[in-house]
Amino acid sequence: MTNMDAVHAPEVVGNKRLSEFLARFVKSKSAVIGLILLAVLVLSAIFAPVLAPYDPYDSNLPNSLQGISSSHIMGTDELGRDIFSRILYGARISLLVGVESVFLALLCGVILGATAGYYGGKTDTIIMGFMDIMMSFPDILLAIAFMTVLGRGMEKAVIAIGIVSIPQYARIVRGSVLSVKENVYVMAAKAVGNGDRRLIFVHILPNVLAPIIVRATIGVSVAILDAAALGFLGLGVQPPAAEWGTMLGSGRQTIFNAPHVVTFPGLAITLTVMAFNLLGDGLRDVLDPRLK
Amino acid sequence: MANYIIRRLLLLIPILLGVSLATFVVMHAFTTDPTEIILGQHATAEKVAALRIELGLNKPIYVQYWDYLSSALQGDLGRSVITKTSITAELVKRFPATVELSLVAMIIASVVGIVAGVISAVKQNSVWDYGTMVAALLGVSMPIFWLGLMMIILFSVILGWFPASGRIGIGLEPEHITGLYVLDALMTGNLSSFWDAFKHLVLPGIALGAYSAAIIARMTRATMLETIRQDYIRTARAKGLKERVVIVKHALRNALIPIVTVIGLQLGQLMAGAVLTETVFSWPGIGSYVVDGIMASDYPRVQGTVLLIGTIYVLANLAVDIMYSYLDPRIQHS
Repeated sequence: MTNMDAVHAPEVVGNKRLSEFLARFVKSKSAVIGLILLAVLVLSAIFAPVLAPYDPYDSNLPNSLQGISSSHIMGTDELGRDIFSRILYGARISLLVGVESVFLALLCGVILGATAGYYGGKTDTIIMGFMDIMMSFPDILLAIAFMTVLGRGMEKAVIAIGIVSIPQYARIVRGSVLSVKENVYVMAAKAVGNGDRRLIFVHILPNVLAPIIVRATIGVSVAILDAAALGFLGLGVQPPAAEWGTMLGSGRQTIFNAPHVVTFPGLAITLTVMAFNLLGDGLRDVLDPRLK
Repeated sequence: MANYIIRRLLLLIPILLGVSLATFVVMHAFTTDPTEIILGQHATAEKVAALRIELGLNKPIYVQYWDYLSSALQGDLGRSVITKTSITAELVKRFPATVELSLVAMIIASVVGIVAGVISAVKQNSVWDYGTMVAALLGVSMPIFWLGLMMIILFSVILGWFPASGRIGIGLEPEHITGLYVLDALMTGNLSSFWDAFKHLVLPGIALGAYSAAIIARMTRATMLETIRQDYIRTARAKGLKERVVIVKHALRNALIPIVTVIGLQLGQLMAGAVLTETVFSWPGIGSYVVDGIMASDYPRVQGTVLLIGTIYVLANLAVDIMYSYLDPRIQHS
């Protein structure tokens, strides 16, 4: 092998892997449908100011609780605001809350899980014991308890949902670290003098990414559902913000005379959660068929 | 096996202690001072100090935890700061409502989930299969409170088939035996109460059970697909057994272990779902009790209910683990 080959070899391998991944990805129906749905949602969130026919916060009381019409394709809410415009803007909040809380959970979960799995012994017992206690509560109940303490609002919802999801990631990462840490390549990396941190982050974690990515994708859908539930209970994002769960919560009062007010925000949540579920299922098939 | 069960039961102690400590710490970091909730913002310092002594808030935090734990172990979860009523008494009163709702949801979820999953697997890649899987995907993607609202709109407001809220009509409560209205009404032969209680259960039961039904259907399909490809199924067919016998007696029975596990794990999930379902349907269980407690900043109420749900969740998971090893003797416990 010449020097030139040696320099290019990893890149060639990387490109091959990527093309293999893409080939399998486009074959997975659920992955493709999920990605397309998600792309539509992300684009409508980004271009909400262009796409929305009205200002989502512009109330117009004489126009309240209007049904579906050509001027308001999803009708208006109890304050006369255009529901379609609010749903477009709401996509921004839901996607942000979902992604941010998973990011927070992932960050803490990876650090805790990797530490527990790598060091084992007492460190493992303490960290995982703590995770077990957190897992002794249903997610949403724990999130509700945290919101009672933290107060209401979008950032707090992100923190509460993020915290309650930490154990899921810690468990997966710990399990994966345990399964690869005895591999020869990790031993070799250790033998040549790599420090613990480098071993964990450079040699171990990249090899356990598949289950983490799959879990995180499905995790976003769970986070969006939890955020909507908090909003619905009046604990999450506060009015007048156009959060879908909050819209459902306030629309509940008018369910008997204007059912459209609660119909569309719920559909939006369902579609978004479905997009992440489909993408997660598809990624699982593509990245790690053993997880099926 | 006995050793395993004893070890798991002993392990419950630190976990339940942790659960109680977690609820205590979280609730005591509560932003609103309970004295402020009770006395308002303009109370005199003397009154506040007296109330702090009465509530035990003047003691060091670890003493407060110890007091709380020892009372909780004796079944006393304190008093609501708003209504002053005993939280334990209120939970005891409301618990059967949540149990009844969760049981109905569990039955709906298991029956629908298993039947749909089996049909889906047996008729793989057919319209039935695709339909079931799309429905299951919808089931895991829909917020249960939205499903509840949609069902109220369709079946209560438009069609008028089922009531939109509550547990039973006024004056129809059956004589108290188990606290489960449907059962009590049947036991006392009170058919009008039975019918009314049943009608009240349908919508919240479906709303609460839908998510679990979807999970069970997916799991049943996956395990059935694996099982029906096994050699012994081919043998059963080769013997000339009827297809229905092959599927139900040979395949489903062997596929049941993972399905039963998933059903057990859903039990805890139902307790969480009950919080949302009970809010939508004004169901007088512990879920709506905790939500009302949060709205009123009534922290002992939230603390007591969260502790109760956490404990049930832990016990349900333990029961599943034990049952799992009982059902599958291949599982070894070192």
